[in-house]
Amino acid sequence: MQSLWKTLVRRDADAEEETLLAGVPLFADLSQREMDTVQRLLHRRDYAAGEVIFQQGEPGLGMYIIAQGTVSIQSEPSGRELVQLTDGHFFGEIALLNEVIRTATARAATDCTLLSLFQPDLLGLLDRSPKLGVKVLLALARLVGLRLVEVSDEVQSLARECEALRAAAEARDATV
Amino acid sequence: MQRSSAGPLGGLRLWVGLALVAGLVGLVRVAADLVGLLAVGAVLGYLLSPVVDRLERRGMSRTAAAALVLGAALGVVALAAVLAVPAVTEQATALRARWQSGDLVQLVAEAEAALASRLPGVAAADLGLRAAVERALARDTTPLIAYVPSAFEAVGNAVLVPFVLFGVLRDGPDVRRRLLATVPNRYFEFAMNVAFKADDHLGGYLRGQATIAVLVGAATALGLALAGVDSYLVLGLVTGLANVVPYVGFAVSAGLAVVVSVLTSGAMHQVVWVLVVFGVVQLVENVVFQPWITGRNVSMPAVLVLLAILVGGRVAGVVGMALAVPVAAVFKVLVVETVTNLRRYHL
Repeated sequence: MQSLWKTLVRRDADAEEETLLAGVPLFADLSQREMDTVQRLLHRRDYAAGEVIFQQGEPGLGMYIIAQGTVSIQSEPSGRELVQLTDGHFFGEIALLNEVIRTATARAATDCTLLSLFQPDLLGLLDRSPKLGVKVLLALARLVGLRLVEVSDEVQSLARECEALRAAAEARDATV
Repeated sequence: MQRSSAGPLGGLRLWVGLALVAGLVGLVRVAADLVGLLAVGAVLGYLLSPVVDRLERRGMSRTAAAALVLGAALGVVALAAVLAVPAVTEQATALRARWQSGDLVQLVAEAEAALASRLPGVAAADLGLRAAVERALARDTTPLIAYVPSAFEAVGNAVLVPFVLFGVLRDGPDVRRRLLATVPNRYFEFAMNVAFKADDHLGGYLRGQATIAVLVGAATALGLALAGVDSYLVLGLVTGLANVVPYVGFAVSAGLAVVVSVLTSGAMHQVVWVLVVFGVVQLVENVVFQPWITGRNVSMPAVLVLLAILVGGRVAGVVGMALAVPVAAVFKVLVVETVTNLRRYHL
């Protein structure tokens, strides 16, 4: 009965959002019903081009998913762009686990619509529906683990590069 | 999901918000008691919402859980009324019989004479205690029909509180999300952070105060029963409820217990025990309950508490006094969290 009602009253925007969320690793394994619960937790907000979403150095409270538009992640104080993110991409997810200081500024590069999920809402979900909360949290832990492996690989590659440069410099000094 | 925008609707939203605030201030001025009752419903809803959350976690729908909690709360109130009303009626009947027998007039006259003998240059008649008691009794002879309008008002008020309670229990989280959705983008995370932390501290504080009120009520009832005071259940209930108003509530309920013990026993021998019971309960509350239960939550300076009670009493009478401390706690937590977070956010 509920699904019939939902089919009758569902807006196109809701269906679009569901497709978008299914592409986010955090929510990829959720059932239709679980997805509905998560969707009720999200805040949908519109940003004008140039508007700051969050500022480097401020405490972070949650993650953002880009429903539509482009977001520029910038390093302060230079304003150097680190990356541009667009529809379906997400950022700031570490703040869901802990109230960490934002390491970069997020600014809307174009007019955009973002869906945001905040730590208090995730904690509330864990309290009310522990099974679903753990599912989201486990997916988040996997994602963070994956990022850690990527960062670790990058650090190792940089270390190797440094080592090679040092050896080359030593060899050059020896020949001089 | 809440949708919000920084578009042309932003200005309109500001005006709507200002109109709402102006309306609320107007309502407080015109019908402070009504606002007080709304606030009573809201505070009760806030206190009981974790129970609804727990039921929801067990698979119950939010509406059903809210209805169940409301039903249980009304059941407790009904039970308390069933317990208290016969006792109060019995007490009133006994009091009237004693008054008619002339014992009490004699008791008041003796007390008046004893007091006058200790005050140089004052005659017993100057004190006017007996005359005051007689006047108070005479004033109570208003025909019953005169109470009908206020009885209707009381019934209306009694219906209002459960309505508000049910609304807060069922839609509380949704209302909070809708309110947060009106915050401009730049302040959104900041507002979210303040709301979350304030909720955490305040919830603990209010639930702690409610637990303390129950413990104090139970301890007083037990103590008065051991001291042999009649109507110990009613006095315990009144003390627990009055404990919501710190200091003043305690003094009033202790005074009431002394009067009841004198009236029912017709002598002064119980008064010492009543005072001992209230003294011990007050000591245990301050030394054990308060640090144990509200230790990690908001602490309210005594001056602020007294000021809040005075202002609350002036604005909305007894209901205002009962709500003064929770409302002051809300303001304190919001101010502290706002100031703390303003330093961390570059706003």
